Amino acid sequence: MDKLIQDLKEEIIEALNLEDMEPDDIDENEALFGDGLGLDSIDALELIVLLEKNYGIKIENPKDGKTIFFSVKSMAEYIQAHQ
Amino acid sequence: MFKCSQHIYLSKNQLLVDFQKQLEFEKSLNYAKVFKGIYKDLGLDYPKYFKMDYLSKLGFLSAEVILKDQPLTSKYASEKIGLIIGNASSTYLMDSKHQSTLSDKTSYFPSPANFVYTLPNIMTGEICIRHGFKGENALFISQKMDIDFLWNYAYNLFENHKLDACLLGYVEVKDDDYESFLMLLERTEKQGFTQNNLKNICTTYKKETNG
Repeated sequence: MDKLIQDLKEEIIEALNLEDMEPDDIDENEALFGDGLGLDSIDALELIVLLEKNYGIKIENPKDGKTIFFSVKSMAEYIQAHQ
Repeated sequence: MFKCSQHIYLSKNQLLVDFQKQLEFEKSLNYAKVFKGIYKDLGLDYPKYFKMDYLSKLGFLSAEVILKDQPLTSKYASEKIGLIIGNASSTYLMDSKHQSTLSDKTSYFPSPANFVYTLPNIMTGEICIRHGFKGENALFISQKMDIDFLWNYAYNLFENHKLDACLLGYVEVKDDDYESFLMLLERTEKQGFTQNNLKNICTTYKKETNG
């Protein structure tokens, strides 16, 4: 799980162009949207693409997005459960 | 009717404000590094900047330089502040990048973050959002910087009381080159700034930077 979380942080930084940010700057329990990393709706789409492109996981129900993309840790748990 | 309060020119790794050199970067640096250097020099903290394409980044930084000490919304109604920008290459760099993600049907993952920057007027929108402009927001594409057209467009907006202030200029990013020329125009009682003034400023900047 730790390796997956680290990979995810690096992939998020690259996919979302979060320049000047290091993986250690992202708390895996911190909220990705809202007060946390402050991501927006375009970033949400980018994360959906990331899951499909890098992990072959397609989110069938858009309503699940809020839970899956709550934090890096929740993303990692979802990936682990669906791979 | 309007005056030019300040003008800036950013090209050939030099940033000039009112003809004075403010920053200069090594000629060997690519514009990605130059833009990042300017961002840091300005002490900005605007995470959205890093998501922008290079055209938006250049327009954004140019506006920051000219507006950092003079927020226009404290002087004018938002609806009377506008933006008139010329450009030649549109967003073709990002268009090409986006196209490359569409070309392989076996690995078809277009990036939403890239797609949103495949319109050049996103750059003007980014500036308007940042500085609270709600007046005329126009971007015109022409093969070369058309000073006469831009000046006439601004003149008509001031003449018809559509604007009290605006940024006017030219922002262009190509494969290995970039140029940004931006000026702040503000309403005055008398006609203080002419078409010839604008032409002279452009010519001087080009000479100063050997552009």
